[in-house]
Amino acid sequence: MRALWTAATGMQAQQMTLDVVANNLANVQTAGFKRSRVDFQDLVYETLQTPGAASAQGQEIPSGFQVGHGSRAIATQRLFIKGDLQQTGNVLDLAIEGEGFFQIQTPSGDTAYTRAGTFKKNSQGQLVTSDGFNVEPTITIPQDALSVTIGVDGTVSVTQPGQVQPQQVGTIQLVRFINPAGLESQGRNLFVPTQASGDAVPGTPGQDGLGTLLQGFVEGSNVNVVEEMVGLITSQRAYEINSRAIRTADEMMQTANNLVRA
Amino acid sequence: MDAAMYKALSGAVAQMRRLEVTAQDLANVNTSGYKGQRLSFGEVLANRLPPDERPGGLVAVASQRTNLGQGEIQPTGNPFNLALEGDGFFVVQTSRGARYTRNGAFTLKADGTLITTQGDAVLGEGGPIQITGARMEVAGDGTVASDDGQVGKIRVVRFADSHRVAKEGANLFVTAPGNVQEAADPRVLQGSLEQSNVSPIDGMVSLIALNRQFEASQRAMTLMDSVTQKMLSDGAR
Repeated sequence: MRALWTAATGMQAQQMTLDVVANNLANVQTAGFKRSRVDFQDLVYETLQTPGAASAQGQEIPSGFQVGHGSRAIATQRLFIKGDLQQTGNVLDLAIEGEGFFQIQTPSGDTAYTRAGTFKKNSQGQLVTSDGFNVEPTITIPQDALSVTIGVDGTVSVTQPGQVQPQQVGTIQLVRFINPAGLESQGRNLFVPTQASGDAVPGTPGQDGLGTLLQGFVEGSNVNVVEEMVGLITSQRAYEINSRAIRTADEMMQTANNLVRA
Repeated sequence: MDAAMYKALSGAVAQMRRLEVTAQDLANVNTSGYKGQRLSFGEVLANRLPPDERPGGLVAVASQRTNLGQGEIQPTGNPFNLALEGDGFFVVQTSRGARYTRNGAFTLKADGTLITTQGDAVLGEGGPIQITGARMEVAGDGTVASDDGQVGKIRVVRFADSHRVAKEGANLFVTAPGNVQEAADPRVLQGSLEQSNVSPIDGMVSLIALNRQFEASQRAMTLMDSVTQKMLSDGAR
């Protein structure tokens, strides 16, 4: 009975939605988090009757008859819609207003990208992520700095004791991708480029379509709880209705079995 | 065996077919660009028998139609998600030839070519569409602009005879080349996807109805069997 397996693929697909929605909801407070959604496809069809084929009477069958084998999850898409900006007052918190990613050097030496600008200083005064990974290009804030100012264009300047003029200590560069949805998530708020995302195009904040920087703010998660809840309900109902199809198939087999009475 | 038994059997088989098709639709209730199916049943005659011996009243699948009605448009915020409003299909270049789809969940290849999630190129009016730079904007008529200005126009086609279209899976439709026409006035929406047009309520009602009809066919068969049995036992006495 094909219907049983068809409905089972439907249930599996909905389960995948649930996994993705659960992950989105778990990250509702994660800075720089971008929500995902699942794309589905229908599976191959078996053609029982080809449209346009000649029927026994020498006439054409006007439309065919095809039975499919269900659906499957084909891809998860990450949605790079902006998250809400939250004021933190922390001078090393940075939010990108517009497009772009910060560049982070991972311990393996590769460059990863993030929208989570919750930066800190390490013992050498270098600007690092919460995991201690360096921001690229490396920015070192002198130990005796009294204040740190990060401009909209990424210029980092500090004032030191005995100096009136702020000293520039580096510039934060951003990168952008033609297809951010093609980036691969690495966890820890980090993304790495893939064939689909294209190469990172570096630039100065505020130029070439890149967003500007906002000091003292972080970009919150772009997960919308209401939207996820609606997604949860629709996938639950779809799951239910597919289980209903399985039950119907089961009942029909039972009915067929009752044809022969002992 | 008498003809009435076969009539009841053909009814039961028809309901099983209906279940298969309904299950397929329900499995794809969340598949972007999926189009539901409709089965219609007709009476078939056993043509090989002489006219006065034809049993008549046998039921079989007469036709299956794809319901090409519009699915709901859902904004996704992904610029590579395109939805079609009204009649029309996107054209996809596969290794097996041109295929057609309503699922506009596209992405990019490393060289900037617009592709489906399967990796097949999405065709514009002058071949595949290649994006340069870091931006893609699609106008309502399907014109695609990139950093270097206009790079193409999304090709949207319609079918002259919408019944002569077969599904291939992976959200793709296939038809004879002669059945394809350019859509007159396509409306392309960027940042949205068309949802499946399957109605879960209709599916639910279908499931209940076909189950009961199957049961009725089974009852009819059991009843006829008991009649035959009684006849045999009465005749033996």
